[in-house]
Amino acid sequence: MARVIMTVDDSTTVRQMVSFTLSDAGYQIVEACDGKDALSKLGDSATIDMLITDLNMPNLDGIELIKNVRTQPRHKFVPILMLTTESQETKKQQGKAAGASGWIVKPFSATQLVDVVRKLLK
Amino acid sequence: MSDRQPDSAQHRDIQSPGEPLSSSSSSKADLNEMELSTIWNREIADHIRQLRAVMQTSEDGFLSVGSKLREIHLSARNVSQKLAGLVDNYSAEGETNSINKLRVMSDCSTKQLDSFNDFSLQAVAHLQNLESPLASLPESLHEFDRLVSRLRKMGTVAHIEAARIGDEGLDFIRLAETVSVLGEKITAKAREVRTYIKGASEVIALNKGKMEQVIGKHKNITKLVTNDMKSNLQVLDEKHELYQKITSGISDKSEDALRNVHVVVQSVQYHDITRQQVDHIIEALQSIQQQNSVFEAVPICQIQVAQLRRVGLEFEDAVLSIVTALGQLSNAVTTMLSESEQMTNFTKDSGTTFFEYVERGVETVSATMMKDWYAVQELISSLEQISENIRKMKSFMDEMANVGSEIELLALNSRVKAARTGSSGAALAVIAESIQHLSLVALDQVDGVVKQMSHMVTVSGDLTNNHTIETVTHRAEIETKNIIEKLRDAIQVFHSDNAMTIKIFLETESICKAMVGQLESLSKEIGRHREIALSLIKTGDMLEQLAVRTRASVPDSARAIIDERLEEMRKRYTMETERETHNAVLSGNQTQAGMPSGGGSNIELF
Repeated sequence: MARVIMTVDDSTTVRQMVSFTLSDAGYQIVEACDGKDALSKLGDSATIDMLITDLNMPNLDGIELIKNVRTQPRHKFVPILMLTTESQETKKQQGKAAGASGWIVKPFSATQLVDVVRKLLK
Repeated sequence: MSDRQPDSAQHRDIQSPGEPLSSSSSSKADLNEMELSTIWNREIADHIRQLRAVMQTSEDGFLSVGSKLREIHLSARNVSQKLAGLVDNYSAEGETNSINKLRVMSDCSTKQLDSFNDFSLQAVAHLQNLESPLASLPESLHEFDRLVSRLRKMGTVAHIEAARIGDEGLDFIRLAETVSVLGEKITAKAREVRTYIKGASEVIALNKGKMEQVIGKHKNITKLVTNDMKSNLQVLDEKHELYQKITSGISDKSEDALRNVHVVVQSVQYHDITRQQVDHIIEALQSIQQQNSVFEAVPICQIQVAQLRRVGLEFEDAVLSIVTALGQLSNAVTTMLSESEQMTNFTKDSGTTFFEYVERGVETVSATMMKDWYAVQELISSLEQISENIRKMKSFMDEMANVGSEIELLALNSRVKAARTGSSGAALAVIAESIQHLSLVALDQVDGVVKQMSHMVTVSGDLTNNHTIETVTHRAEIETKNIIEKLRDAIQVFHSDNAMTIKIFLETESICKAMVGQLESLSKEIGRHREIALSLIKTGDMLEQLAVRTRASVPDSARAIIDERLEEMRKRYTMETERETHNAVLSGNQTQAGMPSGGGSNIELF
């Protein structure tokens, strides 16, 4: 059974690229266009094996999304990867404090992304 | 950053950029109150709209690019998988390898042909064993004929003598007549025996000749056929190696193409980076509109001009690098296409012709083995016939022996009677003795011939009734047919493999042709995004003109303050800190923004 990964980004192109790269590696991908859309798709019962999210998004940004997801018991320990253009240390610390498991600064290479996902899912 | 709050009570508009201020307005208090005109704000708003429109166009364009890249990736992966499968097929060892199958069957057919050869040599040796004794029989029979002729003459003499002595000679007349009749019988049998000897000799000579011809031809054919097969197998091995090498090469190129697609995918992310950077710039420009002070507006505007130029140039570079990567990918695919076309032609022309040649070789081997098989069948049938002839000859000789015994007995009785007759029967007694003697000699002769024939019967019986021969020939038939079937199967597998290779390369060609078209169209589409980059730079130029005009329209002292602010901002601001600062300004909090983090890896796991 393929692991389910949710990718959240307001850029359709980025979501396309993430989906493209990870589905080739054998993962099932669910897309959301911002934090609010992501929470709506997760609902009360849907479960994912990993979350990959951008930081700066309309409606609900990445940090708030992570905080929300971590309150859900079924996603308390799910790996969460930030995939963003931001590289500031303060931002990274905010992400880590909210519950992020890792941080990738764009642009990402397909190999890098797949390696990190595999590591985190182990 | 110094606190400069706009004071609406002492508001003074700059009527329009470029219009000189009157000297009465050059007091320090007036400088504090230099605010932006609505025209300034309108121009900024226009530029913001322009930037948004440009990025939306870019976003739409890149969505289409993403989809097309996906199709190209799927095509590249399809090709890569097909070729990898073909390479695996060529690398297969053991039974799955069709050349090995052919090699094994070729060895079996060589052994089979050799075993036929051995059998033929044995058969010829046996025929020779029969030939010599058979050849000596006519001489023995000739001797026998002379004896029988003498016997019959003696019978005539006895007849004459018996007639001379009158009634007492009547028994002897009967003896003479009986000898004559029996003599004829023996002569007739001897003729039959001669006929069978001739028949058997002819069959032996014919078969010996045939087998010697077969052996002679067979040696040459076996040598030709096995050498032919060996050289075919060698060529097959070479072709196989070549196919494997070429296919691996094309397969490696397809893997490279797949990797190149990923490189292009990675480059496409620059669009998103540019989008976010332009978003930051737009936010900064919006903050100018919010602030409405020339001392903030002009430096911020000039900072954003530099940012826009940088972003525009970076985006242009990214677009060019994508176009270059697509060009490289296109070259790789074109090379793959050309090599696939070559491989298809190679496989079709020489491959097919060569396999037909191998097939003919296999058919020749098969036909040779079947001919051998038929020759052996014929030989066995002839040997059975020879055996039958010899048995018949022996039975005739047995009959002749019986007749001889009968004559001998008659002669003995006549002797006894002649002795009783007295002096008148003396001559008859001598004649009867001669007859008896001759018949005994004849019997000896027959006995000798019968012994020879018994031996020949045994020899030919060994050859035809031998269980081993039956088993060998039966097994040989099954084995021959089995080998022929497997040789033909191996050829069929070759044809299938060849057909599959051609099919895969034709499919590869078709996919590569489609990919070349898709890449060309994608390259043109992405090339158009250069205009987006140029548009960003142009917007930057227009913003600069606005800033310059505004700066030129203010007094020198105001310009000095503006320049001071600009220098301060340049030292401290980056895209990230700028964002935070502008957020802080917008929310009324004038705290310092943090500095950006240094360089390093783009991945961090917590």
